[in-house]
Amino acid sequence: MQQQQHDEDYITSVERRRRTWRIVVAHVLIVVTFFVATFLWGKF
Amino acid sequence: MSTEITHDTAHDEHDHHGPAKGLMRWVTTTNHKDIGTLYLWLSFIMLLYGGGMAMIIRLELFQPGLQFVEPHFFNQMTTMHGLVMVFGAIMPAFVGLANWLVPMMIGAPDMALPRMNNWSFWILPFAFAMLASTTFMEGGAPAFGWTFYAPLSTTFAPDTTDFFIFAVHLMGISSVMGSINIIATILNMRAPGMTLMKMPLFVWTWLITAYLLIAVMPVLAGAVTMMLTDRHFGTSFFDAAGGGDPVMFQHIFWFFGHPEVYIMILPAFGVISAIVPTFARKPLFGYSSMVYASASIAILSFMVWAHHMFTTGMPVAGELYFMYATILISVPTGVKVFNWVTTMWKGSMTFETPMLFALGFIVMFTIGGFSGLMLGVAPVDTQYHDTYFVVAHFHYVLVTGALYSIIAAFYYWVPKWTGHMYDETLGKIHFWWSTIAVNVLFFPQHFVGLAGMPRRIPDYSLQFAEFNQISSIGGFAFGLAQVFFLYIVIKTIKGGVKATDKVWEGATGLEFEELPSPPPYHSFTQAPPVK
Repeated sequence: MQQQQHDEDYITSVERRRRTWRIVVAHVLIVVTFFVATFLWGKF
Repeated sequence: MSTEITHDTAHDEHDHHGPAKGLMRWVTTTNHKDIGTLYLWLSFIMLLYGGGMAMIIRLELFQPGLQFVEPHFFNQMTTMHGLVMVFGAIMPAFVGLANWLVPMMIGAPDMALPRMNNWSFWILPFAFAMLASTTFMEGGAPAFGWTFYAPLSTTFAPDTTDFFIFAVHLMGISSVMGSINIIATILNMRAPGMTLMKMPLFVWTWLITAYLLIAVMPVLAGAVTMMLTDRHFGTSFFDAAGGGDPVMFQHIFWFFGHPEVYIMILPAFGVISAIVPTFARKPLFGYSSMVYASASIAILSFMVWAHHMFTTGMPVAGELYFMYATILISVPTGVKVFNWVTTMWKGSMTFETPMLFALGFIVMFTIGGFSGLMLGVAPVDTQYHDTYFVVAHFHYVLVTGALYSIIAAFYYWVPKWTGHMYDETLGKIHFWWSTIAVNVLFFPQHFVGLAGMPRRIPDYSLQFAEFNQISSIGGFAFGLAQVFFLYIVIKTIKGGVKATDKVWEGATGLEFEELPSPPPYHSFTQAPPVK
């Protein structure tokens, strides 16, 4: 029962890859935002 | 669905391969253990390089007057020492530990983006080679302090500053890629049942650190880009003559620089939170409060940057805000120290080398924390600012804090990594030698600082001579102790008593309970059970 639950909890590689790219894109956007904001702070 | 972690593509059959042979193994590797090893070796080389420059600094300061080096070269040494230690020794060491440990601790087969992991590492040797090469160029290495305040780093800087700017950009790119990789790994690669609140504290502190990095490294990149355009493209971001503001540089730098301090100490908290319970043979006291305290420290770290700038002349309301906000950080930090002490309370404690370094961390990091509180008080900071008191403070935090935790982590996990126990007697000698020397080195600097000796000077008044001599003797002894450490590292890698799979009687966690010592090249190709 526990093993079955363990197996069901596991996501597929395709799903994981999709999630990984979503995480990467979201965090690259954070990096770009902070980079641009620094120039605005510097009164560009 | 299967528990097989990789099962839908043909190349996943590589899981059963061992490492490639020869030098190309290290150049082309995408294995988290190999890349962790590369990071750790780079950081050790940088530690010895930065330490060599510290020896030159302490040699010159052994007595008043100019003995060995020109003042301009002395300034290059203080600058490069700071840059190399922060960006080359401490940060890569923690990234190396993260590479080795995070996948094993969460039950993942590797990092989420292994090829990017390889790239993150291999950028760094080029960045540091470029930075170090400026020492031999016309004009010399950067000499404006590791904080590279404008206009010293813009209007009055040597041409080699452009190499420094490019090197900082490369380090930033490496850190951002490394951070995104760690975040993706932790959020997306945990074994079933490894919920966020079951993760080891080291994983938690690295997750928080990675967010700090992706928020502040672009700010640093922005600062050096503005420096570059001020130097070569006619802008005046930091040039008052063109309508810019040099104090703005300090604001931007410290918006990066203060969280950077926590980038170097939060993973250390994670290491100590792993070691103390093992050798106290008790679970960590207040796990969830540790998580919330780490998150609180990270959030507060963005709100206190101007306490580095009290003497620039800010409104009293600003001084009051930054003073109170700074002192507020002592609350979550105090929670952590309280929890470590409480974990040890009535524990069945033993004092193997990792525990000795962890205890050294707790005591001496707290000393650094207290001097930090003193510096955070705006009225008295006016006296302490830019004195050796500041140097003493941040070396207690970064050497007996961050570096001690890295050394503790080495002794704690190296039997797991190599399958060999280190020599306990040599480890204890290393601890006591380092601990006596480091206090002889840095404690007198509090006194000369309070008496008014400025930092970043090659010469000083006669009344500071004795304390400086004592400090230099401690410095040479501490430097030699780390060469001894290099011997211990090599000896342990080459052989030693075989470590058991669990290594330590009180050890917990997937890396100790589910993997042999040493672990296979590809660990957790099957997701492990999580209790």
